[in-house]
Amino acid sequence: MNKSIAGKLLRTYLTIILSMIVAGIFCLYVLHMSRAGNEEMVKNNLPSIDELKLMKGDMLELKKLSNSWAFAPNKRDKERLDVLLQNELPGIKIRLQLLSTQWKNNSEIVALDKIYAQYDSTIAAVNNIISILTNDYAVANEQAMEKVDVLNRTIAKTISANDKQIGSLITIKQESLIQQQEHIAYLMRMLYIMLSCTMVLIITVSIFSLRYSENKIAKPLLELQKSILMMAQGQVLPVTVSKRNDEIGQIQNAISIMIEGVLEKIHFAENIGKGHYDQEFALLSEQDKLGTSLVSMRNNLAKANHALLEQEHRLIEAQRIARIGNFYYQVAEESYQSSETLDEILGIREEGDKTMQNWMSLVLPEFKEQVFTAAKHAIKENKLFSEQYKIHQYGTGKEIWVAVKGENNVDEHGRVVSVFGTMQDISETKTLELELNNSYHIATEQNKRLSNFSYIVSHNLRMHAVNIQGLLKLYQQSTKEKDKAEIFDLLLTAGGRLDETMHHLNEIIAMQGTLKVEVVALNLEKHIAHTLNALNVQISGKDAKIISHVGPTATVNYNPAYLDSVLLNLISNAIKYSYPGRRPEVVIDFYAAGGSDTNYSSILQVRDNGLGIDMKLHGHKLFGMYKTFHKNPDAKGLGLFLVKYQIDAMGGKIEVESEPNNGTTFKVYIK
Amino acid sequence: MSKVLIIDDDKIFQFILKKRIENINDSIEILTAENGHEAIALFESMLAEQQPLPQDVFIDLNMPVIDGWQFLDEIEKLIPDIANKVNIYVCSTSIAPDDKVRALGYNIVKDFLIKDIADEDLVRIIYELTGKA
Repeated sequence: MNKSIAGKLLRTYLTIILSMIVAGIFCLYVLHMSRAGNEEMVKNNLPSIDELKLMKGDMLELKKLSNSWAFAPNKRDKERLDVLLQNELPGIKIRLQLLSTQWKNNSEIVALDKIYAQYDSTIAAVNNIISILTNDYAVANEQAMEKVDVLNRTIAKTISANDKQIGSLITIKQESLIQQQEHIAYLMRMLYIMLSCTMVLIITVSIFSLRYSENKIAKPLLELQKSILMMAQGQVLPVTVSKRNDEIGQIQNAISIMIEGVLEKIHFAENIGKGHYDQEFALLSEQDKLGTSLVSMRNNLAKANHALLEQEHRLIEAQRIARIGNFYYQVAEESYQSSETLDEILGIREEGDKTMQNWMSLVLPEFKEQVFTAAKHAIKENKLFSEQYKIHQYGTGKEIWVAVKGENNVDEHGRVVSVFGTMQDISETKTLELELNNSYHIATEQNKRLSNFSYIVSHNLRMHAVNIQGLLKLYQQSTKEKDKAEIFDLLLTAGGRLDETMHHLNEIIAMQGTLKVEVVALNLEKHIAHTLNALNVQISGKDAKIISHVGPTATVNYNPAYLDSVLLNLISNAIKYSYPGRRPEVVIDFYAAGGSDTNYSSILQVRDNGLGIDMKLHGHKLFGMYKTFHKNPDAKGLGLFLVKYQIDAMGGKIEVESEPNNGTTFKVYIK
Repeated sequence: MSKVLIIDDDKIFQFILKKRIENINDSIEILTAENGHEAIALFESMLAEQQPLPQDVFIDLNMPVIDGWQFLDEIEKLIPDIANKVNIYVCSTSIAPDDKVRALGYNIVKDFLIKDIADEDLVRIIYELTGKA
């Protein structure tokens, strides 16, 4: 039989109906038995007992009559005897014979046969007495009387036996009646029990049937309903495959397959979403509309993605060629995402290392302030960030110029949450730009010098010309000889100064005309000794103390004439502008240029304890032409101008530290 | 009595200007200073002794210690209303236009004169000073 639910239910109901039929049949049987018993009792047993009782009475009466009549015959007794013998007793016998045909108990029939025999002998004896006594003479006949007497005694004996026999038969009959009643009562009890059992059975089977329905039908159906409702709401949970072979099992398996199909599609769609376009996907059937749509969507997306990748590839290539990288910086995370080119520029390649801190650590120290300030400003004011700075490439340590631009993205409160921007490696253009700037700077410098020169020429030459002219005019106008002599002296002085100025100008023109100056390795100590020798008069004149810490092996790459000029001017200045009353002391040092500035290899330092210069007042014109700062007759305002020019020409620079009354330190940076 | 001050480190120019002023009017008292520093000291002592200030000042630009520009800055700080009391004439051999523009930018500078100072300018200045036509 099929294991279907309908089958199971049918079996349950069949069991109930069958048990009801069994109970009904038993019921009918008991009713039938009871009715039959009752009928038997009414039709046979009760009348039989009544007839037996009648016979018993009649027989006792017969005994009494036959006895009494034998002693005193009378008409009334005779009539009674006749009625008994001819009507009542034969009637009883016939009725009993009829009833006894229905009797089933053999002992009863045997007992009845005995009763019949006694009855017959009694009747025969009574009839014998009657026939004896009917003769008139018989009364006198002693013999006859004796015969009667014997007969009466026999009758008495027989009837008393008969009476006992009937009594016992009545007792048997009554007992059988009781037995029959007890049997019916037993059957009735059985009926009650049977009915109770049937009811209990029906209730039990019903309960089990309901339980079964609930567990095996209602609950699984509810579970399935839940799954379907969840699916209707868009949730998808896998349903296990059922081992049941019935309708619910089949429904569950169908749903399981359906959900599995949906899950597979979800997985497929998710993979499409993640960009995995090469995933295999098996359609559920030819009619799988959703599957077909998904596959076609996947194909379209793959095509679009391919085009996008192509575009992206070109963009990346373009960025690589242009050396432009892009970045996306999230302020809260402090980390950035970047393109390959940006990673190449910075040298930071590990995702975990892409933090703003690491990026900033690559910025060269001299640019840090600039970058931080600009970044802070850009984020605070929500402005475009655009800066050019130098970095140490991570790993290689190479110095690279970068141009970084960043645009802010703000949240609803206007706070900057992220920055998107570009970084370009501009080392090539920057180098060119710097070279250009340098050329421009040199050109400007030269231009400045040129205009300075024309200024000097106009100023100094005119000054002397004006003076000579003025003196000549006064000479013309003056009448006193004393005045004339004075004017003439001044004219001589003015002429001398004009000549001196012309020499200076010659010197400067000669120097400025030289474009390329020879540079050779020079022993610094030797050149210092040479200079000190040349300044011997001044040194001894002022009792100056010269201390040189320059070793015998110190070497500089310089133009010999320039080195001599620089040493002569700086040392002579140090002696010349001594502090009144203080013994001049000049300390010469030579040491390697440390720090980050790698443009210079060493520094020549000349320190004095002289007058000092008010840097606030004169700092800006210290190296100008014809600038003098002390009221000193030997100050010509040319020395430092030349020194500066010569140091510049050697690719170096000069720095001054000074405090009025405390002395001056000149630092000459040598390339 | 009229008083003028010549500030110039060029002794020859000092001598020439002094002689030319004396030739125009020999009653004028002529003071000289070699640089801005000396001139400031002179002004300070005159203020301290409550002497009359010079009505006219001729000042050169290129001088040691304190040059003409620094003098102008200093004197403006020392005597804020100096423009009402003293006529300052900046004298220079420079024909560079920058210096002239810069000098006339000072409120206290009355005029910019190119050395040597033209006769008519000097005569006019001295006449303005002494009141003679």
